[in-house]
Amino acid sequence: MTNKFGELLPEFSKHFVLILGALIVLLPFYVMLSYSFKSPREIETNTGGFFGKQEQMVNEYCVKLGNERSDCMETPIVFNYTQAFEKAPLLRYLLNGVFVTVSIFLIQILVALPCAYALSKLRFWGREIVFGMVIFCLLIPVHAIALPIYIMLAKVGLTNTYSALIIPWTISVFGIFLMRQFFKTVPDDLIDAARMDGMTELAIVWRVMLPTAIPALMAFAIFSVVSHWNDYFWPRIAVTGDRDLYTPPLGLREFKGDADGSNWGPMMASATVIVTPLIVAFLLAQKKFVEGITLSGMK
Amino acid sequence: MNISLNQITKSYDNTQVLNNINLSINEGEFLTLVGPSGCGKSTLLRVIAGLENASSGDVIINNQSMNKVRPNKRNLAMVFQSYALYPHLTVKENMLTPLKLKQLSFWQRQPIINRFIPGVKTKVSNMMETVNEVSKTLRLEKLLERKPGALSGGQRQRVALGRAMVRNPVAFLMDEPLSNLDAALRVHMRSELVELHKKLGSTFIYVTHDQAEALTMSNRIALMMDGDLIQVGTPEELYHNPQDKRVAEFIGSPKINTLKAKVSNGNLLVNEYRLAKGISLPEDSEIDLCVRPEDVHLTEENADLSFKIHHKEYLGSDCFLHGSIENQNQNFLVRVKPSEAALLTIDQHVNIRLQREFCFLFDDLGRRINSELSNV
Repeated sequence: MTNKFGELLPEFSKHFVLILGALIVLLPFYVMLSYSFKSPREIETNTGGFFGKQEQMVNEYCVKLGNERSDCMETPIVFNYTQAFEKAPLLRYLLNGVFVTVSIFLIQILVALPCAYALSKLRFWGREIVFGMVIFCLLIPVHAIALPIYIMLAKVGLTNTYSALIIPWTISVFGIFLMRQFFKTVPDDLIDAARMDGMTELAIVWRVMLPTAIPALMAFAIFSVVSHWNDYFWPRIAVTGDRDLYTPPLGLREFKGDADGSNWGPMMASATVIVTPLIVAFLLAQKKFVEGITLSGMK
Repeated sequence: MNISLNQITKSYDNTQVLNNINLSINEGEFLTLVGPSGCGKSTLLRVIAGLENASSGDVIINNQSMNKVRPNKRNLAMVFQSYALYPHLTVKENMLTPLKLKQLSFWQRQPIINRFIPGVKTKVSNMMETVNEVSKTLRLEKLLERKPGALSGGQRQRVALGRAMVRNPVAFLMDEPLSNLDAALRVHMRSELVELHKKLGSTFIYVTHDQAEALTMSNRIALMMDGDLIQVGTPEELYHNPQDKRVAEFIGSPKINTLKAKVSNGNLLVNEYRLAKGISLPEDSEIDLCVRPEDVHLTEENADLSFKIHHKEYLGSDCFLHGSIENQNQNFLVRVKPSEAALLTIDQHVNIRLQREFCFLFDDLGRRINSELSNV
């Protein structure tokens, strides 16, 4: 009996710690989801459980427009989500987000793959120095160079454009580093075989290295897409005023701190809408991760 | 279409990898580059292929210098030790790739655009014919749609061969192609490769560290050590007439026996025993006498030396006696018939006689001394 307990104890403690960690991570999501269902009154008084009572509530905005109070009754969940899409052009923001993150990711690949190939497989003078500089660039915090980049973009007249949102991120040193480490594991014979077959160096990058590097690219895609989809800092600086260029995180601001107070319900509803594509993408990518392209054919 | 190498040297930083290699490879020949690992044989093959540039010297194919010619323009095909198949392509696509790169232009290779370019279809179907023909030769027809990950080692090996064959190259370069296979399959593939060589009639340049592969497969062997080409010749020449002690030791398994010998008054002495007379070498020079285990015989009369048996290695058809000879620090091997071995016991002393015509003498630098040993 004691023996069995002694065996199980480490398992219990492991799971306890993991569950605790999961709770800490999930709790904000719980609050977000719950608030997106509730009426303002329930949010303020912290009642109604997870879903809220879903009692009919008065849409004050509708009343302000001069309608009868009886015509302006809605259930909180419908109110929150319709407000999310109506009060701010959330769909437009989502499309902006998709356009910006996808562009950033594609250009990052376009730059990182040839760089990583050169740094891992070609022998040239100064390679180690260049790689050292790549590592060094990993250490530079974004916020330190944000101002110079902003000034540069402003001088060229690119602020308040999609370019301003995309260009500063097109060279990902992290991507170069990650892909270089992966390319190191690709056998040299494969590259020599491609050379014997008559491929140019660039053809080797796109037609041999890229397909073998799919698992690493998926990992990089998650890092890149998540961080730029969620980025609030840079779009806040680069886009000043033109709401058509807002990315989803900027869209959240629309619900905050107006004269009539924060609209927590619609705000959390739009937050839910914003994170959903990420979570879906994550789940899809996770499956691809596991499947991955097996590299066993090369060894 | 012969290939010749003129004074090839190669060095990385300060390490000399290839020293002044001169070699001429005849058309249709199966030439093996053999040597221990790190001797430069793979580097030499890569220099021939054009994957490495020699520091100096010329690679000449068909009377033309290839030094400035890109690997794919040399019309050579290479089979790699790790097979180096494209893991994301099927067997068929793997074999089509070199053909497409050779016969189609850049635009003709692009996926959608090429449908609008005339002539691509016929070219591709011609290529498919080549691929089908080759896969029939190599018995790959049923595997064409599979990816390399789903193949066994031997099958991958054949695909790699197929990818080389579709190009119909001047010469096949093979870098230890069998060393990733298990022992039984390796022996089987040896004979398959020899068959293939006969059928195709092209030049094969084959790199291996396995002297057995070299002896069994090649028309000629080029033996390399420490970046030097030591001896080039038929397998028989290398086995029966080694020009360097390192050749004698490398070729043949088990390793050749070495005895320390001395010259005195024109006599060759081993342990003060007069093995031969009439040797024209300086007095007191130290020599190595090498003799293969099969050229040593147990004898009752006219014995040369006494041999103490340490253990017996039974191989079925033969039996090797491992033992030692007094005052000689190296192990000594004798090959006997199993029936003879059965009569012997461990720690027994037996008399042996060396077959004079198969004793090789080497000086202190390892060079062969051409001196006929006459019986005493």
